[in-house]
Amino acid sequence: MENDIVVTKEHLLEEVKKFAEKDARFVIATCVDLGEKLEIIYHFDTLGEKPNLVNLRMQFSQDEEIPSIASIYPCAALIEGEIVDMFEARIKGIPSGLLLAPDSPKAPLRKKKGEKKKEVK
Amino acid sequence: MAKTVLTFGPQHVVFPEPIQFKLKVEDEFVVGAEPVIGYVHRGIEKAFELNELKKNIFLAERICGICQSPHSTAYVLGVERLMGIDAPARARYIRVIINEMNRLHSHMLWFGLLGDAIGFESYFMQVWNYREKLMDVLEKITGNRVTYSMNAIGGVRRDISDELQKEINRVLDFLEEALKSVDGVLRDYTMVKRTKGVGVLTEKEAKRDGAVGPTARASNVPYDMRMLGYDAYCDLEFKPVVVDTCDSYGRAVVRWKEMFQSIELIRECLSKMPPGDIMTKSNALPKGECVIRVEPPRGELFYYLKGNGTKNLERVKVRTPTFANIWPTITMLTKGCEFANVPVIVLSIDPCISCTER
Amino acid sequence: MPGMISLILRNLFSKPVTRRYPFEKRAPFPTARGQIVFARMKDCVFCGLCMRNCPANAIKVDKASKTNTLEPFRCIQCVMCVEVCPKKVIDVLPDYTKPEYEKTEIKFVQK
Repeated sequence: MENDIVVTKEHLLEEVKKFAEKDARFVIATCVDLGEKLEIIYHFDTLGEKPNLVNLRMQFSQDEEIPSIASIYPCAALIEGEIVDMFEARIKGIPSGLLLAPDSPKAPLRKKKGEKKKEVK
Repeated sequence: MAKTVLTFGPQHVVFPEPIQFKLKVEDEFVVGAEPVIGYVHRGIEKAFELNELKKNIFLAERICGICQSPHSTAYVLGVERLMGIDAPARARYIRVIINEMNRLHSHMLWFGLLGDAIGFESYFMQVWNYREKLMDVLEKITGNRVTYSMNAIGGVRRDISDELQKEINRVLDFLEEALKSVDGVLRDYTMVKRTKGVGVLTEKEAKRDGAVGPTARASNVPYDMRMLGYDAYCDLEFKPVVVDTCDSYGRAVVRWKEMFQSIELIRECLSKMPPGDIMTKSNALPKGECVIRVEPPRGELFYYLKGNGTKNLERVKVRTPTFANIWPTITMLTKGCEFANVPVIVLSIDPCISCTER
Repeated sequence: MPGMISLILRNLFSKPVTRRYPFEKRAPFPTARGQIVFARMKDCVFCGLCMRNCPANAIKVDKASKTNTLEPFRCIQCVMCVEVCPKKVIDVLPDYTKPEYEKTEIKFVQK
C-alpha cells in the first residue's frame, strides 16, 4: 500500500507520538494473521488539503506483549480491545471481552490449520 | 455527594439497537461514562473470509440497514482495485446517485427521530411522509425500498432510464420545496434550547478522538471522504459542509445543509451522466491489499481488503462510522452534561450499533 | 412552532396519507424485486448455476428427480439466479412473499 512505515514494537510509541504532535487523526488499526506472525497496521489520517492515509505496520509473534497506544490516542482502546478478542493478541493494559462473551469461540479470526472454506449459512 | 453509577441502555427508547453506557452521575451531572458493546456481534468479518467474492456483496449490504449502499460500494471498489479493473463512467455516476439518495433519506430519517426525541410528533410524521416519496422512487430504480443490491463487481446491475431520470428530478423538486416548508425546526425555541451548547466537542477533541462525518464537520473539521474523489465524485463540484458551533445544534445544521447538497449533487449527476455500458466484465482474481474509504450518511467508512489470488478474500476489516464516533460521545458525555441531555447527545451522532459490532 | 401551524391544521382536516393496509393495497411497481419463480421449467437443464450463485443458499437443484426446490423464507430477492440462468427459466415477480405461519418450501418439477 502507499505511505507505509514499518516499525518494531519498541519504537511504536515514539512513531505514534509523532503523529499525535502533527494533530493527525487515528483512523483504525487492522490486525492480520500472517500465519506465524501477526501484523497490526495502524492507519492515521494527516488531514491535509485532502484526507491522506498513512499506515504504520508492526509485526510481532503471538506470545509477545505489545504496547497499547491508548495512552496517546484514547479512542484506540476500543479497537485494541477488539484485536485482543479476535486474535488473542496480548496488548498491555487492554482487557478482553469487548465484543465476545466468555462462552464465545476463542480468537475467531485467527487462521486455524485445516480450516475449510465453507459456505456460511 | 457520592457518585452513583446509572446504566443507560442496552434497551432505551432513543436507541433502536442495544448499546449500554455506564454513566457515573453526581447529582444531575454526568462525570464519567463507559461504553459496553457486544450485544449484537454477528461475526461478519469472519463470514467475509469464508464466503465467495460475489456473494460477499450481499453480505456487505447487510452490515447496516440504512447506509447499506455505501457498504457495498466500498467493498466493490476495493475488489475492483485488487482486480485492476475500473467500472464504466455511467456505472460510477449511477453509484453516486444511489449513494446520495441514500444519504438524503438517512438524514430525513434522522430529523424525524430528532423530532420524536424532543417530543415533536407532528414534525416526525411530516418528514417521514416526505421521505416515503424518496423510498418509492428508490424502489422503482433498484427494485427494493431498503436493500438496493445495485452494485456488482465491475459496475452496477440496473440502468436508470430517461423516464426514471425525469421522475427523480420531479421528486427532488418536490423534496426541496417540502423540506423548505419545515425548516422552521432549526429556529424553533424548544429545539434550539434543547440542542444549542449541548454535547460540545471542540475541534482539537474531534481530531484527537477521531470523530467522523457530521460529528466532525460540526466541529469545524473538513473531513469528508467524498473529497478523495472516488466513483464520480472527482467530476462533481463538491465542498464539504462545515459548521463551527461544535454542539448538537451544529450537527443538525450540517445534516440539514447536506440534504440540499445531496439534492444538488444528484441533479448534477443526472445532467452529466454519460451514455454507455454499465458493467465491465473481468475474470481476474483479487491479489494484494488495499484500503477503501467512502462516505456514508454517518461518516467515514473504512474497508481493508487483502486478497490472495483465490476466489476467497484473506482478510476484510470493516470500520463503520459509529465505531469511530463512540469515543467522541464519551468525551461529550463526561464534560459534566445534565443527565436529561444524554439522549440528545447520543442521538446527535446518529448511532447505528449493529454496524458498529458487525 | 408557529411556522408549521398552517401545515398541521391542513393535515388535521385532510385525508390521511397512509393506506388502510390489509384492505387497500398499493399496486407493486413493475420493476420491484418481490419474489422469484421458476416459470419455464420445461427449458431447465439443471446446470445448478442458480444454486451455486445464490448467496443465501435458498435454491436446491436435483438433477435426478428433475426438481428445483426454493425456500422463499431464505431467499433475499437479490435476483442473482435470474441473471446467471443460461436458459432464462427464472422470473422475478413484483409482488412480495406473503407472510405464513410456517417456513415452507416450493418445489418446481419438470414434467
